[in-house]
Amino acid sequence: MVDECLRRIGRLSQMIHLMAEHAKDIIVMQLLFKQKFPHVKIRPYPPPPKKGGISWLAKNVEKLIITALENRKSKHDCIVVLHDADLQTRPHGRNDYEKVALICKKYRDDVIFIIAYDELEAWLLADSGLAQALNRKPKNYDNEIRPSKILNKWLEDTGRKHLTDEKIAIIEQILKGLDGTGDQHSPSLQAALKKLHDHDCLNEDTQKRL
Amino acid sequence: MLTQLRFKNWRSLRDVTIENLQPINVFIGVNASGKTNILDALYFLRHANTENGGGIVGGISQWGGFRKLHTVNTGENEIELAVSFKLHDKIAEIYEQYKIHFANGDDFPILFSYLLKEDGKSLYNPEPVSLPVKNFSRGGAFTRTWQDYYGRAIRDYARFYKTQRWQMLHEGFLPPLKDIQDSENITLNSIDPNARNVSFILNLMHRTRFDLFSKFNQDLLELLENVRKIEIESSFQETKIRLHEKKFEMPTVSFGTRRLIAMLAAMYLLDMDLSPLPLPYNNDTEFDDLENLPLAHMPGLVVIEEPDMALNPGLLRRLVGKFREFVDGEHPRQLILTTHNPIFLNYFEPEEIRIVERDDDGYTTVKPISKRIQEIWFEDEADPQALGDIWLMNVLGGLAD
Repeated sequence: MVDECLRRIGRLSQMIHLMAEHAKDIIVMQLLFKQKFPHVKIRPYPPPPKKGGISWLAKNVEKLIITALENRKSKHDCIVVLHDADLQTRPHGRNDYEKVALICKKYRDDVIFIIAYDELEAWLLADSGLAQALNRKPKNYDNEIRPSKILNKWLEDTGRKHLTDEKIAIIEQILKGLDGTGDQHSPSLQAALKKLHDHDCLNEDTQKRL
Repeated sequence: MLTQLRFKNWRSLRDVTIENLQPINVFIGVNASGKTNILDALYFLRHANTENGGGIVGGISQWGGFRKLHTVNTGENEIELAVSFKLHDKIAEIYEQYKIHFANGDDFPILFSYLLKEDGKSLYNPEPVSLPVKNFSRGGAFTRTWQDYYGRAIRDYARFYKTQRWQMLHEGFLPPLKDIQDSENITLNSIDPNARNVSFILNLMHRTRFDLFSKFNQDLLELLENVRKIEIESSFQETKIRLHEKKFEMPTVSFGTRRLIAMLAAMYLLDMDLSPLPLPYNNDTEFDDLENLPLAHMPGLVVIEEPDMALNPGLLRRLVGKFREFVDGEHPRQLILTTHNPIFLNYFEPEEIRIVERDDDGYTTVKPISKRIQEIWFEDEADPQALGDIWLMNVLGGLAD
């Protein structure tokens, strides 16, 4: 009886098919999702080693979306595409960003398109747990130039390694303390989470219907 | 050549059919996804067909009985294993089904049924027998009709195919370089899954088929640039494999080199026996064509778990090239491989890959790469993609998160 119940609970679990421009972004998002949506399984689609970036995402995002549509077990599974806004550092030459946006628009019924302002690292700088572990105060860094640089400085000051694609094997150690509270300070993370909450795949009603 | 495998209630394989098997088949999946359970079913079938292994009862016992063999929590107590294969131009596709019914769990009697079909038509379907019997395959009525003779002849062929044409190497196989002669316990017509008998097989090849041994030697030297020659030294007490570098005998031989020797030995072993197949039930001239089939011309199957283990990545391309030579050779072999290595995977074709995963209920599923995924990732000539890279992007599945 207990087994049967557990089996049924297992059946109810939702899946997020997650694609992003960097392998480290995928793992960061997995850590955040683990805090925010513990009942949801993640199927990541990371760039291959030594590849990635917005050009790579622009070139592959449609194929990845089609793949996720092919792989998803239920129409209620989410497909999430994420990249940095990079508005401060790359205000011009935005073709790849526009291409990703257009493709996500084409698949808007199935895809949740999330942009981190101005970089994903701003969401980490806004996290109370991580900030405390790094002896800093969390706040809104969405409009800062290069939050990744700020984060790496924080990490360096406390003897931790920089957060880069080359260090993904130890990302959990680098970000030790992260408690998923970044949405309290980062409006762009708040908006991203709202998009996810509002979507069919994470909606409580959908869970109940299944 | 194997064309289809079917498993029901076999360990984690609740109900799995693997169709359209290719000359090369590479199973990928996370650890504990069920890859070894698939290969172990083949090994079980081979074992169950050997008389010195105790037949099916010996197999059940060696594999740990009902509780270890059977899928848990299904409410069913019957295991079904079935294989389809093509043996010869003059024989249509053969389907062989084994059912083991454990009415009382591990307690005897265990009911065993066997069904043999050719081209979908029943050929041999003896009454189910209660185990233990000394030799399950001799059970059932023998009506002495032509069909019955023919069915038994095909059944014997199928048994030869499994027991002498299936060469299997388990994941941790590692041949010893020196072994004590113990003639009573040495099998020479099939490689031991742990490769314990490789030195004896090579010794036999060296003595009776020097032509094959020379080719084996040449292949090995092509793969191992620092090795000059391999020698087999045999006395009454022991058999030794010696490898020589360019200037002196190699003082140590690495795991990878020893595993390469075992893999090539398994490949070449399939060419050793050129004797025609005996057909004990053949009293009729109508089977002449079949009787003239030498054992070495019957399709061969080589199953290797993780052939890339302990090998330099630069060697993997040449190893796959060598595999392909065997697959496309005069007496083709079929390969079933497993791997966790994306670099190794790069040298295979998408249609050769099978993805092994667990479903939400914990049962193993096996699927090929879908046509759609093949189209979008591998058929764009302007943007060629390496299979291993695509696997690492988790497009195919079978990748740990």
